[in-house]
Amino acid sequence: MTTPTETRTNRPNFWLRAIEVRKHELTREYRKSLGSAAREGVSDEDYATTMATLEKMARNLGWDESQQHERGFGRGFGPRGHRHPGMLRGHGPRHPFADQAPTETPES
Amino acid sequence: MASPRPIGFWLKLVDRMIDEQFASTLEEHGVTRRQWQLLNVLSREPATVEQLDAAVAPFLSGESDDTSAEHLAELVDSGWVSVGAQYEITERGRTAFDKLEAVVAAQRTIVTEGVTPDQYEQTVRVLERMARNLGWSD
Repeated sequence: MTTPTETRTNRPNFWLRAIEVRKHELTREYRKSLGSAAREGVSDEDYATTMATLEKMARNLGWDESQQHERGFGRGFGPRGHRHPGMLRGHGPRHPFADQAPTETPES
Repeated sequence: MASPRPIGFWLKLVDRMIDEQFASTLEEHGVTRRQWQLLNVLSREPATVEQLDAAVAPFLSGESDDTSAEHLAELVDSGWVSVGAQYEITERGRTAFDKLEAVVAAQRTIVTEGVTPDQYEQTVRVLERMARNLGWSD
């Protein structure tokens, strides 16, 4: 219900949205400040090496740009594509080792 | 050229991928994560269920309130662990554990392929420094 004196600023929805906007801004600022705090005492060179190493590790684990766009960050691009063929599949307690297991090799 | 991604992107990505890889390796070998942890402890020395519960507690997520007993029962049934006054890893269990450990170690090697030991050490040092800067302590 509206009254002649009501303005945009006394509608609950306005303030709910304002709260949401500020929450996002504060979260962004907080994350940014955490990033700066975390980097304290780390040289640019060491930081760059760390970034490069992490990227290399991600790529070794099977990540690439296309997967990110297709499936979204962090989901569905797990190591399945990097399994070794013929690894010791199913020898755990749920699929107990056969007696010959001690002579089995990862390649067998 | 795409703008460089923030370090948080790579940290989350690598952390999640390593976790997924480890989980699927265990699953593929028919071992639960808890069983892997229990075998890890038992590979060092025999232990009671209470000692095992205490040893693996730091690795459990909040929602997990089951004891090690159920996971141990399966290991005992499979002949990987024997039970007397304490739980003890059997020769068969040790063989299996050693093999699984070798697979996990090989995967770690693949993950860091192309990264020199210096780069790896530098990265670990930086990550530790960042964690400590954010308030982490031993």
